[in-house]
Amino acid sequence: MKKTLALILVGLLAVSLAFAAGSKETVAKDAGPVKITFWHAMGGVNGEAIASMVAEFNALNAGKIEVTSEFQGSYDEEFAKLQASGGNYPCDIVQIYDIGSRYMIDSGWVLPVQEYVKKDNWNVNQIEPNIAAYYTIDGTLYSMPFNSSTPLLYYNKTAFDEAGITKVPTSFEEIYEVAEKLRVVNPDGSVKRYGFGMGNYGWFFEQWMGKQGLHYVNNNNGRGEQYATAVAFDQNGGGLEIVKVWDKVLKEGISPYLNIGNDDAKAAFISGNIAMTLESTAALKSLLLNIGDRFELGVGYFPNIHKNDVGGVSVGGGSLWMLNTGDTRREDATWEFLKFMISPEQQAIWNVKTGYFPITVAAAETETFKQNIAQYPQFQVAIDQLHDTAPQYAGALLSIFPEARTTVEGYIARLANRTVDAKGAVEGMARDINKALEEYNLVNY
Amino acid sequence: MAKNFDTRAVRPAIKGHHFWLEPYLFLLPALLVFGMFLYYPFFRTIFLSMFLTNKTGHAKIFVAFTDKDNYLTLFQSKSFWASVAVTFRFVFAVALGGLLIGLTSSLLTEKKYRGSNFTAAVYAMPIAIASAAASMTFKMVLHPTNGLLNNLLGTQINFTGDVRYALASVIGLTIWLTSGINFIFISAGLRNVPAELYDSAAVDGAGYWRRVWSVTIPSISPTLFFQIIINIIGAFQSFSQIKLLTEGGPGDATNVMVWSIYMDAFRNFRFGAAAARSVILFLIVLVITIIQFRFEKRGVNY
Amino acid sequence: MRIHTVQRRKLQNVGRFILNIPLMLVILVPLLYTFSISVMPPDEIYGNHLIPTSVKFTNYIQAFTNPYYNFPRMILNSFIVATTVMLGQMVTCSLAAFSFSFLEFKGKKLLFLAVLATMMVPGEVTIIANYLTMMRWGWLDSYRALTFPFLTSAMGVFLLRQYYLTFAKELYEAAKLDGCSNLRFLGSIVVPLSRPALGALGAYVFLNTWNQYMWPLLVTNSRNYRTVQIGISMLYDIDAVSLGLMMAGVVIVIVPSLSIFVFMNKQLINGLMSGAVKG
Repeated sequence: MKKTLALILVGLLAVSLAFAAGSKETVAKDAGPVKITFWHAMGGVNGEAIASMVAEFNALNAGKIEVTSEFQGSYDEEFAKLQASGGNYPCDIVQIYDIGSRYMIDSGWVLPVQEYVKKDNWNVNQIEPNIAAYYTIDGTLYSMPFNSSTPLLYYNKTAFDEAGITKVPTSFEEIYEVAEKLRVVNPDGSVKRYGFGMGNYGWFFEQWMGKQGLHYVNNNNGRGEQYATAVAFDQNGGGLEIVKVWDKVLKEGISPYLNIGNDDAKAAFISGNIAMTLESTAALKSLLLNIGDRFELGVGYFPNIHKNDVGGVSVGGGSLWMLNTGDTRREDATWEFLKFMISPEQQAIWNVKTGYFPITVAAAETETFKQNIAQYPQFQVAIDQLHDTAPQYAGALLSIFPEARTTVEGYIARLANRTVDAKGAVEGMARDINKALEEYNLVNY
Repeated sequence: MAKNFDTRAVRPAIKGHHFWLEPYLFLLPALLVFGMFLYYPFFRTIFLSMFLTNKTGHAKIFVAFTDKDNYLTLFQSKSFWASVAVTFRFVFAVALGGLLIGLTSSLLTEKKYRGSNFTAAVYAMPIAIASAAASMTFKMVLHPTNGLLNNLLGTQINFTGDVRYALASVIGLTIWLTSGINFIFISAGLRNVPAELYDSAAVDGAGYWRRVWSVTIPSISPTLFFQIIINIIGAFQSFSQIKLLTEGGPGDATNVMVWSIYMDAFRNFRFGAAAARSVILFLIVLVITIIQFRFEKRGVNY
Repeated sequence: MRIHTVQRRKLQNVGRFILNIPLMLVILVPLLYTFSISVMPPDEIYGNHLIPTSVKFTNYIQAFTNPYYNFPRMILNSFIVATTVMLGQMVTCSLAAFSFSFLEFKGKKLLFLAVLATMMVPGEVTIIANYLTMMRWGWLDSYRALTFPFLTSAMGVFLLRQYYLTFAKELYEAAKLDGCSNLRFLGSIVVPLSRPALGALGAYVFLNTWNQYMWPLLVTNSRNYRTVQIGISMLYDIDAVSLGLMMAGVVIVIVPSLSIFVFMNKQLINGLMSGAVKG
């Protein structure tokens, strides 16, 4: 039996050596196609769309460029992974969410897209100006917008027709009225259908600051000469107005409390438990798929806090960042891939398959796009809303944005559970975010 | 097969010079792994906890004993104390709950009957279910609009989003998960209760419950003691349930210490602060274990 | 009188079984529900049905053919990792337990305490530093990162030591007298005799490693190395709502470990019990 023991030991050694050898990425020699890695956070329907786009690119560039795309989970998880890799460049091109922008710009790991725009003499105006504005600082376009979205109001059109509602609400005053008419109560007093419901999503908070024409953080919303050093939403009163809306819909039972993120809100909307909800344009396709024949889906602009607010939405979603690997062949290949992904036809396909609107102006001219709009006019609303906003309402840039968003959501949750009131919530948010921001700035700059 | 020589002459040679290393060599593989992946990181964590780290985990500013000390910041944070309280409630409930369920299921299958093998297999089954898988299952069971529990109750309670139910939900799930190992170990303990004790109890005319209380439980007290320690250590490490169901919320309602360590380290990129949290966690576990062993001397009969 | 006793016993049997039903349901129902949702058409899920009227396996097909989840590969990864860790622990813990139970040497008590102490260190205390180590050594996204930190465990050493201590001292003495070396004694005599404990330890370690979540989440980045637990948690994504697909993923993940459990049920339980009796 000593032999068995020895065999086991040898086997173990062999196995571990095999892994030691096999798990390192073999360095690509000069022969063969240039291999680049693309990290993204698109799952489900959107992930499949990316997979097919990547496959088409690889087919078109067979033998020259080969792109491997890896799904990294949610935006948060992917972002954490990238940060944790500590500048070891695990990939060539990475899709990062909007709120990761400041961090990426500061990280030193990024090769600004502007470099290749200059090199290739590429016309930046091919991109929708309101979208490009978000990712541009001081005339430099840092990342290539890809999956941009804005928030929308989704409503149950069938329910609207039944209740005789003809005007789509555009501000919360109108939403309160409409919700009242749509509310259905069971004989035993429990609510069968709420008129309105929204997930506890920090993104909405940020959007509503822009809708009120106010800044989220100081120093020109983080886009000024210096990076942001404190939040502004507690100083300019915008934050309180937003939290008061949340307070009202929850306290008065206009909306049920739906969990952080948007999945529960979507499920509730699809099941017919809520008649109106707020969601990203990116959910349009999957909502259409899941709702099927249950009811007709209506889409409207993201509502104002107050009827007379002057402001606009900012883009959300993500953009594609080139990493500063220093390997020119791979960087060139990455640029080719970028150009492909935002070409008019691909953006039209992307729009059709997901609901994200095309970032390329020319996409609207393609047949693909036109046919889709004809069949699903809902897709047009997002684009109109995008055209109706302005660059000055572009969202904030904040190094610790992900943490800030989580903090906001945490306080809304506390608000929903009555452990804090509206004013306390805003104060808490401001206090916690400022503290984290101070420490970050101290250590990292 | 005995050899024909004086073994006393041979043995000193075996125990002598060359072989004194032998016991240590046997220990070497295990100690190597422990050294690299347990002892070293443990001390490194203590080291890190004394610094403010930058976003890639490098210790940047030495802050121990200053006003920016990581530990000081934690002690001044309401959220931290909330986290400690939640952790204690969670661990206590899970340890005790798991034990009770294990005891119940063990007692129920103590005597053999038709189908008792099947029942025993069912009770032990949760050890084969990964905590992540069970968490996803319970995510569906507890779903606010389409979940099993709400369907059965006819309600639309947001279990994981309501401070009243969030912690209970996570506790329930964790007890479900640990019921298997509790069942296995406690059943083993039950099997070793000497029959004579039961016989003398029967002679004394003791009823079922009386017997359980006065004979069974004291006899398996070493098992129960061991099991509670296992439950407690396991409860302190529960992570996937929190991540997949509540993400520490709502507010701080399910913000157990493991979760806040993860958030600080891997979402907020404050490795130094996270390290401080883990050191505090370790000290807590250590103290609890010491207290338990003291208690063992008094409460457990061998 | 005799008929009475037989009838009473039958009643007792049935009665005992019935008493167990509530608790059994609590354990089984969530799992059955998971399966039910995984084969249910979407509008029935949103319509709050409990049992599907028609059974469709489209979710399973989708999970297996989805380019990103690559379930077959993830199952393979989990399998490779769990097997490696299992074998590793069986080897290292046997060696260490042998030393602690059969051999005398300086510092034995101290070293044993040092090993036991590791049981009390919660994983979180070391996870950050270990993660940073993996990052610095470039081990992220590899089988090494998934296996090396777990190639031994205090629980394994402890369990086997308890078991070895039940061996008669004479056995060892006799073997030494015969000129048998320690290693040979361990390999030829102790290991074959400790099959139940080794088997139980192996199954337990395999299951635990299969079920790991936090560590693989942190150290893997690509579908090549992701394990199955990470895979199912990724089915819950931000833009698509597919509850059925999510449940199908859960089923796919628990089938292998459940199979092992059913297969090794008796051995696992008996082996764990023999080590746990005195605590």
